[in-house]
Amino acid sequence: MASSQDSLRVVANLALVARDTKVLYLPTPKAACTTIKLMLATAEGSHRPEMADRLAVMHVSHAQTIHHPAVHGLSRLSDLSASERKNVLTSPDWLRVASLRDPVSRAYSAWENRIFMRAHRRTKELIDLAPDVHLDGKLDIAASFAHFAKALGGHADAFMTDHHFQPQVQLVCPDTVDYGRLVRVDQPGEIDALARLLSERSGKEITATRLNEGLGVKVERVCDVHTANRLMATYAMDYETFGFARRNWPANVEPYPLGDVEIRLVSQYRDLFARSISVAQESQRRVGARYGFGQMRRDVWRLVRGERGPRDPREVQP
Amino acid sequence: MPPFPSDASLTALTRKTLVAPRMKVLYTPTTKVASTTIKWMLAEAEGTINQRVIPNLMAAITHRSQTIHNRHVSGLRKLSEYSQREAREMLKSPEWLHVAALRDPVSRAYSAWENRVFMRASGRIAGGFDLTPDVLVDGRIDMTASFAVFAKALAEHTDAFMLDHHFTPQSHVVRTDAVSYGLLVRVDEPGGVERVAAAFRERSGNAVVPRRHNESMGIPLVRVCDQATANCLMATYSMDYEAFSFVPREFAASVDPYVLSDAETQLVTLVRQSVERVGSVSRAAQSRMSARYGIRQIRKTILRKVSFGRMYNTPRSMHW
Repeated sequence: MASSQDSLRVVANLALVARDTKVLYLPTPKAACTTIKLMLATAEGSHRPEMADRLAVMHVSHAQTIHHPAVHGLSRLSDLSASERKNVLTSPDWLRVASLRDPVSRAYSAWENRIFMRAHRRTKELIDLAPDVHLDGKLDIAASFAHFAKALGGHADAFMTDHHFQPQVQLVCPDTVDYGRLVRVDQPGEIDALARLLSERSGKEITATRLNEGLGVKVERVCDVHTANRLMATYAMDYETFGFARRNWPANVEPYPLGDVEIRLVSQYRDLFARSISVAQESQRRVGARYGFGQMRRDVWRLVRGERGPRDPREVQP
Repeated sequence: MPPFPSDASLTALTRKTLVAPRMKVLYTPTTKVASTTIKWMLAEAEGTINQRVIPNLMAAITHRSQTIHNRHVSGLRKLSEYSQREAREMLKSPEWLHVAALRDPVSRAYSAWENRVFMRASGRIAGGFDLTPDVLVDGRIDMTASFAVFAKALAEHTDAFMLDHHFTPQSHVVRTDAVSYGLLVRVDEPGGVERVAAAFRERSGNAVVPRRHNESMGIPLVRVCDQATANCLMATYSMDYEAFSFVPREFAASVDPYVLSDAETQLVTLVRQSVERVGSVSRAAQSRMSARYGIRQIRKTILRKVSFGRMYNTPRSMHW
């Protein structure tokens, strides 16, 4: 179990602060954190969507750029002074919020996004641990998810390096933060209630936007009781801490093979993401004084040669 | 109206042609006519391919195989980069083999639509995608109706599409009126691409083989194109039929709507969102290639040094 100092460090690094609205939000990945960050940044007036086009950082969609500090514009708790931090964590004037989601649904969402769709550059090792499963030559979502649940149980340490797979108790740290509201995002009306609360505090009309970036496959369609039991065991501490109800799952589920067009589209998505990570990484490599001098020299040389037009991206020097 | 453009200057004829001097091969690529496959083969046969530079490219290329269109990857120079005298010699000399490829115009238009319009691969269509909206049935995309809308828009707003070379007629690129091609193949006929591969193998001694890159959705043209849509496209590309004597294909008078499933529609949306982000990331990355950015990097480095590492101490802050 993490010490209170460790928990405090986690909270300080992850928690976002809306100073004017007086809201502290501890984002839980795969528990509507994109929607909530957008609502909070809008309420605070710090949202700068135009910055998204200046980010050479790969996010799977424009909506996901809200996770970049330049776009959401919110402070991190760790950026505040010690006295400010204490005030944020203890003052009754502040609303402290986190979100929670049924652990099995959250695990499915995390798997679909990080493993199945390959939507992150740091998950290569995890993808190797939980590869696609093919049945009769077709990529099967139900079998692949079941295989992931097994791998997650068997290699928990590897998966827990990605906070999308960490138990919610380790992210929300309920022993460290006195929450005014724990939002159950999978229960009807909960996000809307948070939106109303933010509207009241900010004086702006805040509405929750559904971003719908999953495949649209229902977890009940691909998760049988064996897989659910494995996941419930992995996330046992979430059930204990937050009192999640243990849902009933079917004894068996039918295979969920992807069609040829779906497989091609998934493949395109994965390839696309791999390419864009390559672009982002290359851009992020180009920093420092030496690179700076190189760029100045190149532009001077272009000026000397009378090249004034925009650079053709195809001709960019590697 | 003549099928070929009136401009038959050397510049117009050599703008797109690639040169493989070791093999003495010229290749004039036509988009959506196996140009990716043929360029890979040409660069491999010539020995100029350099895949190590692929991770260094910052252009919005949506698939690794497409990086062959970057000259640093293919290592091939354009004919227009040679002197006029050299270019003329290469075009006239019997020692040089000039290769070009053709494809049935309706098939090509479908491929271009699927890639550039439907999947939103970066292109230069004036007005974006307003001219070619998806046709939805209960929230799902009807490919048949969407393709028909495109064919109509292409006919009515041809100029808007012609800024993107994926939609320009093949007769604008393959100039049989002014250039003598030693090898002109039909890639949609059996053995067409293989003939190109064989010629490259013979001239290079390298065992190159055509590779399929499989980047389409895999939906056959006949499932989404009826005779009316085909007629519309055949009229738009009439100059290609005249120039290259393509046989007008027959299509079904009507086809059942090809409606994507919910999951397929959602996947298409996800791919489009990612394509949009790749374009944005690419533009942002390329904006970090200027003297102004260079000055900012030098300033940040100095500030980091004088603050003993307190300022700009993360890769993100340096980059941003």
